[in-house]
Amino acid sequence: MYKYIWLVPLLPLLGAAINGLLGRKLRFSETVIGGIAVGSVALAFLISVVAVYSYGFGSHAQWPNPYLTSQDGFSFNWIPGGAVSINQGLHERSAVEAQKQAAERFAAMTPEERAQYQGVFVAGNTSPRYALLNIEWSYQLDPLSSIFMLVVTGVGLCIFIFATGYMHGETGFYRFFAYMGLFMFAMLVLVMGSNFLMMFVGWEGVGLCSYLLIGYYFDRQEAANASRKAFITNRVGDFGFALAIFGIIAVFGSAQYTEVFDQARAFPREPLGQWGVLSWIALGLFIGACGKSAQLPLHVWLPDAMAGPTPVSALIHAATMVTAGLYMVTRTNVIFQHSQTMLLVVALVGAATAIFAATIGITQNDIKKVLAYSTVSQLGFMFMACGVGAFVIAIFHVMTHAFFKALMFLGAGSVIHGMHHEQDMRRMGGLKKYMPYTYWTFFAGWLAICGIIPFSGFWSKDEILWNAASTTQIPLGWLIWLVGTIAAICTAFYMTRLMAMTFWGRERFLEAHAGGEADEAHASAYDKGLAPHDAVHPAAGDRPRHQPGEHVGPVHEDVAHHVTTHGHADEDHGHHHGAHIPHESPPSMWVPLVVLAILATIGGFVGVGPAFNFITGAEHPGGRLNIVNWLNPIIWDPATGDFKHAEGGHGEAAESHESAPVAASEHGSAPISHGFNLAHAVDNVVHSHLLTEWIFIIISLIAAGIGILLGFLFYVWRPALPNIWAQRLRPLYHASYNKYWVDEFYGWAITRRTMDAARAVFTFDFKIVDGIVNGLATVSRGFSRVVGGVDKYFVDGLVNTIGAFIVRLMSPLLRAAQTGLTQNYALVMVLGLMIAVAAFFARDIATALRNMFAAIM
Amino acid sequence: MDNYILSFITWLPALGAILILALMKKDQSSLIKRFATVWFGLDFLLSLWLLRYNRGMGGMQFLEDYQWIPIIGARYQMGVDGVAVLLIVLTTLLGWIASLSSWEYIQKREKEYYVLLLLLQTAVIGVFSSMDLFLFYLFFEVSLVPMYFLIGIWGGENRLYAAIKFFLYTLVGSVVMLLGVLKMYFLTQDTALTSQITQETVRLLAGNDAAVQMVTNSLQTAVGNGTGTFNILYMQALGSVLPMGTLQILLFVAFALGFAIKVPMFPFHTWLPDAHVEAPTAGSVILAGILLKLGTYGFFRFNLPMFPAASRDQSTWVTSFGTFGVRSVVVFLAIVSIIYGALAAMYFVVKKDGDVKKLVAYSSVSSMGMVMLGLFALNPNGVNGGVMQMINHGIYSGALFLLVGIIYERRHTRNVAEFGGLSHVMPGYAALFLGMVMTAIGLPLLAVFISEFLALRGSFEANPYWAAWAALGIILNAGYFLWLYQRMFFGNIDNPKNETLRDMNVREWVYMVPLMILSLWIGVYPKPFLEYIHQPVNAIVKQVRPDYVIPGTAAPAQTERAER
Repeated sequence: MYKYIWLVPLLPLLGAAINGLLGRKLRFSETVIGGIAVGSVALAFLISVVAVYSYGFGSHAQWPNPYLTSQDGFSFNWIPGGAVSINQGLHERSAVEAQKQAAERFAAMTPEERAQYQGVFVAGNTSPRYALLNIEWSYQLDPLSSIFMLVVTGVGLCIFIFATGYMHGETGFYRFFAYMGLFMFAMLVLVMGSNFLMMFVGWEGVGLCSYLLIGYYFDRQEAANASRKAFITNRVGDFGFALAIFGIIAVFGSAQYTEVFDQARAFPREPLGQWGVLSWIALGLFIGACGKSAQLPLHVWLPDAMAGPTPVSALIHAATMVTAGLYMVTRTNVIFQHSQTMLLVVALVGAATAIFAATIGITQNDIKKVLAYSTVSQLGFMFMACGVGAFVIAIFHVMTHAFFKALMFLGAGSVIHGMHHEQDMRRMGGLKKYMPYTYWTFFAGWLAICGIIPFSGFWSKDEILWNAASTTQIPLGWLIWLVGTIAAICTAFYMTRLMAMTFWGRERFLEAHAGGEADEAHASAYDKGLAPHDAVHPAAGDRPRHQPGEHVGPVHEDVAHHVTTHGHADEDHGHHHGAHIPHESPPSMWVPLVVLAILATIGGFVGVGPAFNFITGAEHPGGRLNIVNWLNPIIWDPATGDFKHAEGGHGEAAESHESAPVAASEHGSAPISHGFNLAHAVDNVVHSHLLTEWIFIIISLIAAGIGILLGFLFYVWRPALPNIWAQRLRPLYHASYNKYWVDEFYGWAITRRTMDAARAVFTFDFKIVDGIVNGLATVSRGFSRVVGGVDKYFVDGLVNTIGAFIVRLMSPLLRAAQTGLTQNYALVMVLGLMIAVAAFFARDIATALRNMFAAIM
Repeated sequence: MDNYILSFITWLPALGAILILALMKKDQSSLIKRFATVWFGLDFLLSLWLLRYNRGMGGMQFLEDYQWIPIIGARYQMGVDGVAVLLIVLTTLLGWIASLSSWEYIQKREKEYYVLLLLLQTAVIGVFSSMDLFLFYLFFEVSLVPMYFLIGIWGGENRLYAAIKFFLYTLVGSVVMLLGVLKMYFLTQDTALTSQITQETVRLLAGNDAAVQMVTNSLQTAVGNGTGTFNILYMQALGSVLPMGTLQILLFVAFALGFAIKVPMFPFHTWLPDAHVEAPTAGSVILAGILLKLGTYGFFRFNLPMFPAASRDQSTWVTSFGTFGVRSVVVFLAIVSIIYGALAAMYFVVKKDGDVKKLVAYSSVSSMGMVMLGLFALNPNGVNGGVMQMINHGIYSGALFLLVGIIYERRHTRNVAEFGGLSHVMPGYAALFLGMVMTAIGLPLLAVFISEFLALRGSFEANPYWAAWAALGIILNAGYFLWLYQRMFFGNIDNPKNETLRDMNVREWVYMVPLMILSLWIGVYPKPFLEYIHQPVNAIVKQVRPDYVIPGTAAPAQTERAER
C-alpha cells in the first residue's frame, strides 16, 4: 500500500492549483474552495495512515528499512548535474578506509597473531575521487518521515477544517486555501524527500508559503514587513543549509540520505573542540535549523509572523514548519553525533532559547505573542533534546507539541474570533462562561504544556529533562537540565497567566477602557500616527481586511440575528471598542479543537518512558508501537558506531563491536564525556536506576506545580502582585517586555548597515567607477579635438571624407541619433586603436602581407 | 536540412528586414509590426529544429563550411554545440517576445524599429552559430549597431548619452579583442606550435567525426593557400599546446576584456544601467536576455578552451597577500560583481524614488557574476550551472523587463514611489511579477535555483570560501527583490493614478506565459536542458583540466560508483 505515498504531497498541490488558478476566475463559492482544500488534505491524511500502517505492521511491512518510491518506479532524475570531485574530508575518509582494512587484516589473523599484535595498521588513500551527481526526485518512507507525514497531514487536516470557519467571509478565501495547499505540498516534500536537495526544496517552499500567508493581509504594513522579515531571516539560515549541502556533496559525492548516512556512519567522531568536516557540515545545517525553527539568534521573525491569520500561525508557526529544523537535525543525527562540539552547541543554543523565550513570554500581553514565544521556547526544548543525544525524544516532543500548541493557537483564534478580533489579554477575562468548548479544550492544552501527568506534554518534556541530566554525549548536561527546569517553571507560569487573564477572573471586556498600559499603548499608537483602527489594537494583530460597514467573520448565533445581509454596519464589530459580548465559535471551529484536545491529552501515551516499564525499567514499553522504539533505527549509536538495532537492544551491532584494532588515527574512539553527570551522581546516592528516573520525574512535576501555583498566586489569588513585582524588578521587566531589544539591535546593526552599504556602493559606482568612465570620455573628447585640429591641416581630406561618407550613408537614422562631434571622436578612437594594432603586430602583419603577395603572384 | 538550417535561422530575420524595407511603406505600421512578429515567430519555429541536436554524440553539429575569403583563410563555417543550441532558441524566443511587446510601446518610426530588431536578431544568432573566428567577430561587432540605434532613437530622455556610452564602451573592448584575434590567427601559422597539437585534443573539442573532418579540411585549405585559419576548434586545440607565459596571459586578457565588458563584470558594468534605463522595453529584453550572454558565451567558447593554462592559473603573481593568478582575478571580480551588483540594486529600494529598471539592471550584474563564477569553477557542476544561469537569466530578466514595460506603458513612470498596492487592481500582473521575482531569488522548482545550485556547488568544490561569499549575494537578492515587491504590490493604493489601472491584456499574457512556463519547466525538470550541455561542458572542462576524471566517459580505476 505504501507505494502510493507519492500521492500524499501531490493531492494538496492539486487542490491548491485548482483553487489558486480557477478559484478567482470561476468564482468558486466558499463551500467549493473549502471542500477542495479539506478534501485533498483529508485524502492525503488517509493515504498516510494506510501507508504508515502497512509500512510498519502490514503483511509487507518494511519497517525499519527505508522505502523509496524509486523502488516502484516513481522517481525521476531531477538534476543530472555532471561529475563532481569528492575533494573534502579526504583524511576522514582515509581513516575510515584504514579502519576497514585493519579490521579485514585483523580478521584474517590467527588467534595467536591477534594476541601478539600490538601496533596499528596504516592505510588509506587521500587523493580525491569522482562521482556523478544525479539528484533524484523520489520520496522516502521511513520511521522518521512516517511520523512527520502523520503529524503534518493529521494536524493539518484539523487546522484546514478550523480555517474554513475562521476565514469565512474573507475576500481572498480562494487565495488563502491555495497558499495553504501549497504549503502542505512543500512541507510534505520537505519531510518525505529522499535527499538533501528535496529537503531544501521543501525548506524554501514552506518559506515562500509562510511569506505569502504572513503577508496575507497584504494591505497592512506590519503584515507585509513581517512576511519579508521572515523570509529574509530564513534566507540567512538557508545560507548555512546550502553550504552544508555543498559540503555533503563534496564529502560523500551524493545527496541521497541512504548513501550519505551509509558512508558517514563509519567516519571518525570529532571530539570537543575539533572541527573536522562533519562538524562544519553540522554547523551549516544547524544554522539552517536555527533560521527555520526560530532559535537564537535567528528567532526574531517568529513573533512577528503572528501578523498572519491565526490558522496559519497554528499550522505553520507552531505545528509543522518551525519543526522542520528538528526534522533536519534528527534526519542528520549521524552527522551531528559525530561532532561533539556541535552537539554541545545545539544543546546550549536550545537551552538558551528555551529560557530566553520563556522569560519574554511572561510579560507579553498579546495572546498570540505569548503563544509565539512559547513556541520558540518549546522548540528550544526540542533542540536541547537533540543536543544531549536524545533525538527521538525531540521528535516525540515535536509531535506532542504539535498537538497542544496547534490546539492552543486554534483556541486563541477562537477567542480572538469570539472577542471580535481583540488580541490583548488585558481586555479579556472570564471567557470561561461564554466559550465553554474553547475553554475546556484550552484547559487540556494548558495542562499538557505545563507537563502534568498524564497529559501529552508531560511524557516528552520529562524525558527531555531526564536525558539532559543523564547524558554522556556532552559535558554540562547538568546545566542544560537546570536551565530546562527553570524554563519549565516559567512555561507553567506564563501559561497559567494566559489562562487566568483570558478565561478566568473579571470580565474586563465589559469595561469601555481597560485603563493602565492598554490605554498607554493606545495613546502611543495615536502618537505614532497609526490609523484609529490600528490604535485600538496596539499589538500586531490578526484582523481581516475589511471595509467599514462590511460584514466580516463567520455568521454566528448571537450576531446573526442582526447581521442578515452583508453591508450592514454593525456597531459591535471590532471597529469600536465598546462592550460586546463574546460568543462561542461555530462547530467547524470547535470540532477540530476537541479532536486536538483529545490528542493533547492522550497523545503522550505513544512514548511512555522506561521508568513506567516496571518490569525491566530499561526499555520503552510497547515494542514498535512506542514512538521511541519506532524511531530508534534511524538513530546512530555512538557506542556501536552504527544505527541502533530495531526493537531495542543492541543485538547484531554488538557482535561486530568486538575485534578490530584502532587504526592509525587520533580520533578513532567515541568521545564520552567524563565531566560531572547529574543523573550518575544521584544514581550513586540512591543506587537504583529506576529510582533515579523517578526522582527526576517528580522534580519535573514539582517544577510544573511551582509554575502553576505562582501563576495562580499572581493572577488569581493576588492580582495586585504583578504590578508590584514589575515595579520592583523594573529593569528586568522592561528587558523582557521589550524582548531584550534584539529587534532594535538587529535593525540597527544589520538592516541599517546593509542599507548604508547599498547607498555607499551606489555612490561609489556613480561617482568613482562611472566617474572614471566619463572622465576618460571627456579626456578622449578633448584629445580628439586636438587631433581633429591637427587633422584639419594635415590629413584634412581623409577624416572628413570618411565621416561625410558614413553620415550620408546612414543619414536617415543618424539624423535622429547623432551629433557630428561624437562621431568624429569615435572614429578617431577606432583609428588610434588600429594604429596600435598595426604597431603591435608589425612583424606578423608584414609576414602576412608577404605571404599574401606571394600567393597572389 | 541539417546542412543549411543554421544559415536559414541566421539570415531569415535579415531577409525579413529587407522585405520590410522593400515592400512596406512607412505608414503601414500595423502591417509592419504584424509581419515582423510573424516573421520572428517563424524564425523561432525554425530554430526548434536545432533541438534535434544529437545529445548523445555531442560536439559541433549542423555544420556548414564554405569558401569565403581565401586570402586570409577566413571561411564561412557554422556549427553549434548544445550550449549554442539553447542560446539560439532562447534568442529566437525572446526576439519574438520582444517584437510582440513593442506593439504599443513603439509609436514612432515603426518601420526602422522592426528592421533594426530583425537585423539585431541576425547578428546575435550569427554570433552563436559561427565556427570561424573572423565570422564570429564580424557578427559580434555588427550586433552593436542595431542596438545602438534602438537605444539612441527609441530610448528615454538621456538616450544619446546611454547609446554612445554603450557603443563606445563595448567597442573599446572588442577592439582590444581584435588584437587577440589577430595574434591567434598568426599563431595558427606557427608550425613549431601547431605540430604539437594531437588528434585527441581536436577530437575532444570537436566532439564528433564530422567536426573533426571540418577542422582537418579547413586546415588543409589554409596550408594549401599559405594562410592561417580562423577555425575556432583549431584555435582551441592550439590553446592546449600554447605555453603558459606572458603571451598566453596577454591573449587571455585581450579576449577577456572584450567579453568582460559585454557580461558586464565589475568594474566594466556602468554602461549597463544607463543602457537599460534608456532603452525601450524590447531593447532591454534583448540586451539583458541575449547581448549580455555574448560575453559569457565568449568566455565559455574562447577564453576557457583557448587559454586553458591561463584559465586555471592561480599562482602567477606572488604578493604579500598570497599567490594569485588570472583565474583568481576573474573569480574575485565575479564575486565582487555578485555582491556589488546586489547592493547597488538594493539602493533603488532603499532610496525613496528608485527606478525599477535600474534595480533589475544591477541585479543582472549580480546574476551574470554568478555565471562567471560558475564558469571559472572549472568543473562540470560549475560550468553546467554557469551555462544554465545564462539561459535562466535570459528568461527571468527578460520577463522582469517586460513586466516593468507593462506598467510603464500604463503609468509612464518606473519610479517605485509611484506604486504601492498594485495587487488590488492588477492581480494577474502581481501574480506573474511574484513568479518572476521568486525565480530571480532562486526559489526551488523555478529555473534559477537549478543554475545557482550547480554554479555554487561547483565553486564550492573549487574553493568553499568562494561559494560562501557568493551565497551572501543571494541573501541580498532576496532582500531587495522582496522589498521591491512589497513596495510595489503590498499596502493600500495611496496614489489615485493607480486606481484605474487595468490588468494585463491578452497580448501581454501571450508573451509572458511562455516565460513563466519555461521557468517552471527548467525548475521542475531541467534534465532535457542539461542533457544538451553536458557533453560540450565536459569537453571544455577536460580541455582546461585534463586531470579531471569524468565518470562515465573515460573511466579509469579511480572512478567511484555512480548514483542510480
